[in-house]
Amino acid sequence: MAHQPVIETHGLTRHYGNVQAVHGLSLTVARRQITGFLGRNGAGKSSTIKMLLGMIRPTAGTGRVLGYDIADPAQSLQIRRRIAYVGEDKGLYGYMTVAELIRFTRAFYPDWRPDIEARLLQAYQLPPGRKVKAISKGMRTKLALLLALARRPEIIILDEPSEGLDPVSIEELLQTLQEVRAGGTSIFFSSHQLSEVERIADRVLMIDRGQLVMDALLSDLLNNYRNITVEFAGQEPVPAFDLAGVERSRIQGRQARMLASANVEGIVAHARALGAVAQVTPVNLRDAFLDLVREAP
Amino acid sequence: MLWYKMWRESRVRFAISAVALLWMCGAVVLLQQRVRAHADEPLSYARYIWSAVYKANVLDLYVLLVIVLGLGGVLQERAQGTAGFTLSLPVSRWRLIAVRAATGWVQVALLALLPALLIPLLSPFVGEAYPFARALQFSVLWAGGGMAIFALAFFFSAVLSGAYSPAIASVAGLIACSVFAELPLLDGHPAFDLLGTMHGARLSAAHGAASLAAFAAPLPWPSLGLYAAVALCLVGVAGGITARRDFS
Repeated sequence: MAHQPVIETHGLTRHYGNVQAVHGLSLTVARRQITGFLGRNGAGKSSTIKMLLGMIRPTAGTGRVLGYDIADPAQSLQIRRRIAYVGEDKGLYGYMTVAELIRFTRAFYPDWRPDIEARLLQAYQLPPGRKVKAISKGMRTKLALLLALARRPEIIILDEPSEGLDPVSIEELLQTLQEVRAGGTSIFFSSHQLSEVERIADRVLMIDRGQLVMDALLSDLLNNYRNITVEFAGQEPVPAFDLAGVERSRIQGRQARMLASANVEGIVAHARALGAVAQVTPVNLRDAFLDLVREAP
Repeated sequence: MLWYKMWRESRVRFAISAVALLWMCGAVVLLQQRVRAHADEPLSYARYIWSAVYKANVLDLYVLLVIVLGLGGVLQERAQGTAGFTLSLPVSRWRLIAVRAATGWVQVALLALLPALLIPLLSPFVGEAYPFARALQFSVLWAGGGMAIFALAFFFSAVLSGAYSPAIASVAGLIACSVFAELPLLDGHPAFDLLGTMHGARLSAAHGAASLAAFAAPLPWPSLGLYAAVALCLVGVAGGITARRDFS
């Protein structure tokens, strides 16, 4: 059970008319890890999260959260009992005060922890008597986190949690997420802020045009992934590098650029055998992201 | 706690509606002498109350207020950015619909009751009397018709996005109902005349002006039953649409 993924999808697809928001997405999210869900705007991150929460139905494919089928309304209810969701716009009921919203939310979760509520209320310096619509976006994010954390969820799903926050609030948010993970909660958060993901994620899932283009442990990415640039001196056509370990290759003029996840030595040896000069450089998340999602020229 | 959410969302509208209705009813009672003195023909107090409150002005206001109370719901929450929070709560969409409809119907019934509370209470201050039992009969008519009108606005709020579209569609729907009720084909089927039933025209015609001050005629229970059934159907369809809708 401990090794079972908390989230898994198989061929998950969502079309809006002719637009394919998510296309054949198969992914897993491991327990007790922080998983960053990266992609450009419109890549399909929010649609995927909304399918996991039962807000939109998949056009095709299947998905399970904590073993429950996301497409079944009754099971979706069980999912929502056991997870917490913090949306991109932190849309909370503006007509309630902070205290009223806490009281309202608490009523839905029998395992609500008043001690956590009290601690976070104090730590986040939330004004209990103030209307939610009158507090800043940073405060609303903190309130949304309090509502999520005080019920001790098994997973927290966050959609662009740092959107619209100032640097101090972002820092506090990232620290909170690390503390939550240390407490045993699995975290799945979407973002296009690479530096945030690089700071706290254990695993990175990258999505582009609705399809998964990378699923790697961040440590693996930094230790094993390499950029390989191969330059050809002659006039013969630059060959394709369809080799094991090549995640993405791009040819520009006499140069081939590759992102390799493994077999770096084999790829370099192959390039040298073709009479080319190969240069290997380490990869950071930003390089990998740009390599994987940037439009081909 | 869903009750609390629904109440908080609608309490300002409900309070404004209640104040508006009370103010209108109060004005009708307090100005009775002046208006009746300028009437074309002698007007009994009971007939005056019926004309000003239950047949025309205050009823029109009530209908509009009920439409306003019917607006809202998850589709409208999407525009406010709170739909994600609501839909992530561990409650089914059917339950959201049911609680909102029930809250709204209670409010509609309470609003319908206000003239019955105020008019008999205020009438002695202008030297008149209006029996509570009689006023209560009209309140039942209002509540029954109001239930269907609320459900119409509720239905359009689940179908049409935008702040004004559901209200406009509801008013258009009521006008269409009125036109439909006038068709010769429906002569002899008073239940189809929703507004006619609500202002108790047939009740008053059956018993004459003199009887208006008394608890007299039986209420049109088949018509009220029909409105309740229509209201339940409309809310049921709205629930089905909401349960299947994607909130992207």
